[in-house]
Amino acid sequence: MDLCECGTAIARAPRHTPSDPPSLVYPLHKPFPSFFSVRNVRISTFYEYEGTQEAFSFLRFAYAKGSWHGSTGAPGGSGGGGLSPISALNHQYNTPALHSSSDLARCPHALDEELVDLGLRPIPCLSCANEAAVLEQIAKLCSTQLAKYERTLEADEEELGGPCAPPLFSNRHNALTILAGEKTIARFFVELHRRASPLLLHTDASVAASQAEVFLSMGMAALPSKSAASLEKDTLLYFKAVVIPLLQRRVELEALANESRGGTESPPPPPLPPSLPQAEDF
Amino acid sequence: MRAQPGRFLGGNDFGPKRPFGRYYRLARRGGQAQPNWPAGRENRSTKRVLRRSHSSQQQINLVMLHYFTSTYSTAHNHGVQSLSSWPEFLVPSSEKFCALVHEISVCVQKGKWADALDFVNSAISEPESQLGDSENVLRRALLLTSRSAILVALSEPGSCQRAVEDAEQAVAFFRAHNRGPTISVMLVRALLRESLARTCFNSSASHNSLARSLLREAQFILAQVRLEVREEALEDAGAAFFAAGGSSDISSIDDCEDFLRDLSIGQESGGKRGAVATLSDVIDLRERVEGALAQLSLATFEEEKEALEKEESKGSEDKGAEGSSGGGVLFLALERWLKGEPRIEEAAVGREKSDVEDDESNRAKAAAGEVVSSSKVPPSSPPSSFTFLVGREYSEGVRGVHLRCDVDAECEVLSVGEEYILTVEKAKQNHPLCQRLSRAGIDRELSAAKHCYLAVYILCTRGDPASHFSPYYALLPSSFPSMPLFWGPEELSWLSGSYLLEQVEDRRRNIQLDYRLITGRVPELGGLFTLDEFLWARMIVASRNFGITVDGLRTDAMVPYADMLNHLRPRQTRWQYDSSRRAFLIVTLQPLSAGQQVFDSYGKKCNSRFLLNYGFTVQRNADDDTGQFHNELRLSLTLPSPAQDPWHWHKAERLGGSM
Repeated sequence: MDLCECGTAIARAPRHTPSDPPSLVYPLHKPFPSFFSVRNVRISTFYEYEGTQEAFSFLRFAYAKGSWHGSTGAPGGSGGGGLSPISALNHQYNTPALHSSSDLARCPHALDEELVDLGLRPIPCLSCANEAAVLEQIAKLCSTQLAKYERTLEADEEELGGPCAPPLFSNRHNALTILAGEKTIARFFVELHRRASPLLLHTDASVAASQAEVFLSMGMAALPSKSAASLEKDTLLYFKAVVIPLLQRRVELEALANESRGGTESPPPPPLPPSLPQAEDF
Repeated sequence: MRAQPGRFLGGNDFGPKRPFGRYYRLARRGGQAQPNWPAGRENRSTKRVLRRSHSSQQQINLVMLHYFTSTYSTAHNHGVQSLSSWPEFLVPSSEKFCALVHEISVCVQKGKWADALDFVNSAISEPESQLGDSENVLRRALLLTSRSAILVALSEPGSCQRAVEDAEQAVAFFRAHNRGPTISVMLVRALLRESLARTCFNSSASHNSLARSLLREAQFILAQVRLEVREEALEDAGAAFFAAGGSSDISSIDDCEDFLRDLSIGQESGGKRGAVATLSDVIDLRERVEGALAQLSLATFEEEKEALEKEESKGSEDKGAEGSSGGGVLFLALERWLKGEPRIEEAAVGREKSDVEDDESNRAKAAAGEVVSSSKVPPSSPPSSFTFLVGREYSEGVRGVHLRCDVDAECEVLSVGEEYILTVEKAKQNHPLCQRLSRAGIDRELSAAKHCYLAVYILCTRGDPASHFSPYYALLPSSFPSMPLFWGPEELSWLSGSYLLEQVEDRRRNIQLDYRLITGRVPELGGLFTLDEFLWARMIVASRNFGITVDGLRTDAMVPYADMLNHLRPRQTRWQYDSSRRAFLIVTLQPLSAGQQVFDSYGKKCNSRFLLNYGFTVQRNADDDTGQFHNELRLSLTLPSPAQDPWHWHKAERLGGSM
C-alpha cells in the first residue's frame, strides 16, 4: 500500500485492491458485475439534490482516468513505479491525493468501499477533463431524451399559457406540466455543458478561471432574488461548486508544476518526474 | 381575537366569533382573501375609491362602507361604533342635528345605549332626516341603521325584531334612492343579520332557528356582496390594465388585484408603467377582462347559491351542520363519528342499542368469524378533536379543510384518536381474511405489502354498514380520473416520451401481480373484489396514507380527516403520531386566519410523483426559501464499455449492490 501515492484514501486498506492488471475479459470466477454498470437516476437542476449528486458521482467515477494508485501511466498499478512529483506534493502538503494526476486516486472512498449510496456520499469533482466528460455524457443523454418528445418545450409552454390553455388541474394541463418540466431539465443540462465545458477544457486555466468568476459574480448580481429558485441560479451554483474550484486547482497545479520544472524552490522530497502531467489530464 | 394553541375561543356555543370572516375579508378586498387583517385597519381599496369619488352620495355610501368594514373586527356592534365618524359627512346639517349626532356618539362610546336610543329617535324626527331630499333619505337610512344596531346592543325583549325592521327599512331607503353601488347596503344588511343572529342566540334558545335563518341570509347576502365587489374590482382592473399596457392576461380576481397593485406602483414611480393605448385597445381588453371575470364570478356565485339552497332544503336542525357548509351530510357523519357521537341514521330513528345488546351482537359476530366492529368508542379511547376545522367539498371528489377561526402558530388544529386510525397491524388482525393473508407469508413477494393489507381490509369491510370505519369509507373518492393509472389511451399518448409512461405501466403491472398473488393464496378474496376495485383501493391507500411510528413500530396508516388536507409548500403544518396521547396530531407552523384552507405538505416531490400518486401537478414546483426545483428527469447512466475503459470491470465491481 502506497501512502504517498494516494494519501489517506488508500491508507484505509481497500477491501478489493485492484492490483491485477486489468483485462478486457472479466474473470469468470468472480460475480459478474455488468448488472451494476448501469444506474438509473433522477436528476434535478438543483446541483445539491441527491439524485443529481448521484448522477455526477457515478459519471465522475465512470469516466475517471488514471490508475487506482494515482499514476498517469497505464492502468494496473504498474505505471506508478516510483513517487510521482504530484504524489510527492501530496505528501508534502499532507493532502489526500488532491493533486494526484489520477482521477481515480482522488475519489476519497472509491477504493475502500462499494459505491452504493452515491447520492448520500457523493464523489466530488475530480478534474477539469473528467468533469467535461461527465457534462458531455449528461448532455448527450439529455439530447437523446429531448428527441423522444413529440413537441418542443416552447409548444408546451405556448399551449399552457395561451388563450386556449387547458383548465387548471385538467389531465391535459397536468400532462403538459410534466412534459414541460422534464424538457426544462434536459435543456438545462445541454446548456450547462455548452457553457461550462469550454472553460473546463480551456488551454489557459487562469483565463478560464477568471472568466468563470466574472460569469458567477455578474450572474449573481443579476439574479432578481437570491433565495428564489431559478435555472440561472442553478447554473451559477454549479459554477461556484464545481467549475471555479476545478479551474483554480488546475491553475495551482500548473504553477506548482512550473515551479518544479524551474527547480528554484526549496528542493521537494521526491525526484523530478520523467514526464509531467499535461493540462488536458486535469 | 386569535385562538390559543389547544384552546377554542369561540364567541359562544354557536361557533366562532366570526363565522363568515372569510366573506367579510373577501368583500373588503375585492375577492382576494388576505389573512390577519388588523383590527381597525383601513380598507385600501375603499380609500382609493374615496379619493377619486366626486359624488357626495357615493362618498357617503363609501364612507359608510369604509367604517362599517374597518371597525368590524374591533366592535361587537360595528354599526354603533361607526356613529362616532358621522360628522365627517354631516357638515351641511343644522347645528342641532350635528349636536344630536355628537350626543349619540358620546353615548355610544360610553355604552349608554338607552340614552343613545333617545338621541337617535330625536335625530330621526329632525327635518334633516325627513323624506324629500335624496341626502335626507340617506341620513334617515343611516339613522335607522344605527338605531337597529343600538337595539341589538340593548338586548331587550323584542328589540331584535325592531332592529331587523329598522334595518330593512333602511335598506329599502338605500335601494330606492341610491343609484350608486349597493355594496354598502348589502354589507349593512349582512352585518346586522350576523349581529342579530348572535344576539338572538345568546338571548334565548327559542331564538336559535331565527338566528340560523338570519345567518343564512347574511351568508347569502355576502355572497352577493362578493359578486358586487368583484364588479367594482373589474372596473379598477380595467383601468390598471390600461396603465399596464395590457401586457398580461387576466384570468382571476387575483390578477385584478395584481394589476391594481401594479397601477399604484406605477403611479407612485412617476407613471413609468403608464402606457399609451388606443381606445379600441382598452375596449378590447375590458371585454376580455369582463368575460373572464363574469364567468368566474357567476360560477362561484351559482355554486354558493346552490350550496345554500341545498342546506335550506335539507333543513337540518343540527348545529354542526352550519360548519359543514358545502361538505354535506358525509362530512357531518364523519365528524360525529370521530367525536364518538351516534351516527346520523341511528340518531334519526332513535335507535339506541344497549351495551348489553352490542356485546351480544359482537360475541355472535366473533363466534361466526366476522369482524367485531362497533360505532361506539371505548371509554379508554382518546377523543378526536377538530374544533378549528371544517371540511368543504368544492366539486365532486374535490375537497379541502378550512379554518373556522384564526389560529396562532403551534396550534393543534386536529387530533385523531388511535381508535379511528387504520394501521397495517389493525388491518392484519381485525379481519379473518387479512389474518389468512398475513399467515400466507407472501409479504416479500408483494410490491407494496403494507399498502396491500390496507387495501384488502378496506375492500373487505367497506360494504358492511356496521363497519367501524364506514363513515370514513363514505367520504373516500369513488374514482380517480386525474390519476394517469386511470387515463385512457388518448390521455396517455400526451405523455409520449416521458418516463412517467413506464412508471404508470410498472405500477399497473405490479398491482396486477399483487392481485393475482393475493387472490391465489386466499381465493375467497377474489370473490370479494375485482382487479379494478383492488386498483382503486391501492390508489386510495397510496394517495392518503401516512407513515407513522406506533409503539416503536414503523407503519402505514389511514387517518380520517387528516387525509383531506391538500398539498402546499412551504409547509403550513406538521403532523405526527403522539404515542403518549395515542393520537395523530396536526399542528400549525404559522398563524393562519379564519376561512383559510389548511394545507399539509406531501413532501418535496417531482411532479411525476405527484401526478402518479395523487393526481395533480404543481405549476411552479420549487421551494423559494431553499431555492430548489423539485422536478426530476430520469436518466439511465452507463459505464464506458470495457473496450473504452480497461478499468471497466473493477469499476462495475465497486458499483455492486446498486440495484
